[in-house]
Amino acid sequence: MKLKVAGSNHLLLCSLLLFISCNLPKDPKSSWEKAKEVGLIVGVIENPPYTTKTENSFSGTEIAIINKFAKMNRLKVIYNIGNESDLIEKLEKYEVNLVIGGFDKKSVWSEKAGFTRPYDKQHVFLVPKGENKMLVKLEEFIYQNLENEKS
Amino acid sequence: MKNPEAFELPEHLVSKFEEAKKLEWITLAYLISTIILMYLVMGSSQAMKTAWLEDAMGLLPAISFLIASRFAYKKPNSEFPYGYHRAFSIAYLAGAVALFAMGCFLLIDSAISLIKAEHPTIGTIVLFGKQFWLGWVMILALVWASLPSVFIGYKKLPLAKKLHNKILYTDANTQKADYTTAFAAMLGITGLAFGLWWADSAAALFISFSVLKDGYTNLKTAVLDLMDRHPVHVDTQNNDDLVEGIRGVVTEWDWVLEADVRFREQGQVYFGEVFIVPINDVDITFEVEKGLKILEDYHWKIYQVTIMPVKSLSEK
Repeated sequence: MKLKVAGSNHLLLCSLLLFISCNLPKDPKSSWEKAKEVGLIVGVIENPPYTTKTENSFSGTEIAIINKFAKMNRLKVIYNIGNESDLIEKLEKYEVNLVIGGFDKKSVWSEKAGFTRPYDKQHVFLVPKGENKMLVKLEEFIYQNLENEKS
Repeated sequence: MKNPEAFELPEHLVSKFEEAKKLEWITLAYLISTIILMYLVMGSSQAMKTAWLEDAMGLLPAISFLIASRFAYKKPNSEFPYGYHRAFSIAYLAGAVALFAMGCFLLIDSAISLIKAEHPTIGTIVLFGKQFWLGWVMILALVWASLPSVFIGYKKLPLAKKLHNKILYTDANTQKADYTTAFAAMLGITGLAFGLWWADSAAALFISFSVLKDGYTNLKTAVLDLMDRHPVHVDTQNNDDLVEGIRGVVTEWDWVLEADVRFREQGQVYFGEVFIVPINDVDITFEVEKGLKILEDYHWKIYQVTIMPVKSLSEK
């Protein structure tokens, strides 16, 4: 009898924790919520084979990853091509949600941007600083879909 | 005056001292585990960094106590005729300076991160094949950094009072209050979870204030002791009545007309002089020897006393 009570308490606690951990952390600047509304704005720095721009479409390994991520989360994707420093500045102003283009995990931008965990042990995506929900969503995707394939 | 024997604690305190040493070894092991754990999970959180450095500073009193306790009871010799009691005072000063400096650094560092509005980016960690937000893991690490600490602090506090040991007292007192800083850091990280980027730096600022305050109090106490002020109780910082007690005992002696005493702290024990205006026709050397014996047995803290017969007491 006692065991049963303890068990149900346990379950309650677990579901409470699960509930909390699903909804938190939040983004200070609501990047994730906005991406859900208007679409994921991705800054792209052309850097084959990770990112390539042709006529009016984007391709490359990282573009493929982002497309898959967006599809799984039912997000529209808006790609913005630009140069590195402009896009980092936009990232700092929370005008783009993500910057991609074959960034190394030891990239010099760590002062100005947040990094995801490497998706292939070496390359990362750049997220706006402090946008932890966006980061967690990306890292969940990376962990579940990419890291395991490589190892 | 003869060279005193190596200082020995009274029997009932020897076991306390051994217990204190054991507790400091436990503290050391525990703090090292905390420091490693916190380092692994601190990410880019300013509050975690501050709490981590605070814990690292917590090693100092434990280490100083253990080092000083090796020296403090060595026999006085021709090179160190007063013995090694000040080892505790020196260790205490060194620890206090370090704590104070670290407090200043942390305060500035945290203030800068608040002013620059740094948004801490905290990602995920994979533990046992599951993915968690690092912030939750930080909070768990902070629980480990606080609860045992409070327990150890409470264990050390009474020992420190009985042994009249300032390092031990400060160490116990800071550890006992450690939950406040851990709690502040937890609040900071919970704030982050709710999207309040400033909560982290604000918590860090609070923690640095507490480090700075501890540093300042210790520094003041350490300097005042080295300035040979009137001995005080370790906890209340009020004057120790022992000194007045001795004045009372001495003036009671039938060969004493007037007397004045002064004492200073040397680590755990007191050194001092007794100035006596004797009545006429008294065997001074005999009475002084007798007096010294009485004072020696008066209290264990009264360690080295000189009795000085004088014609009159100087005006203060």
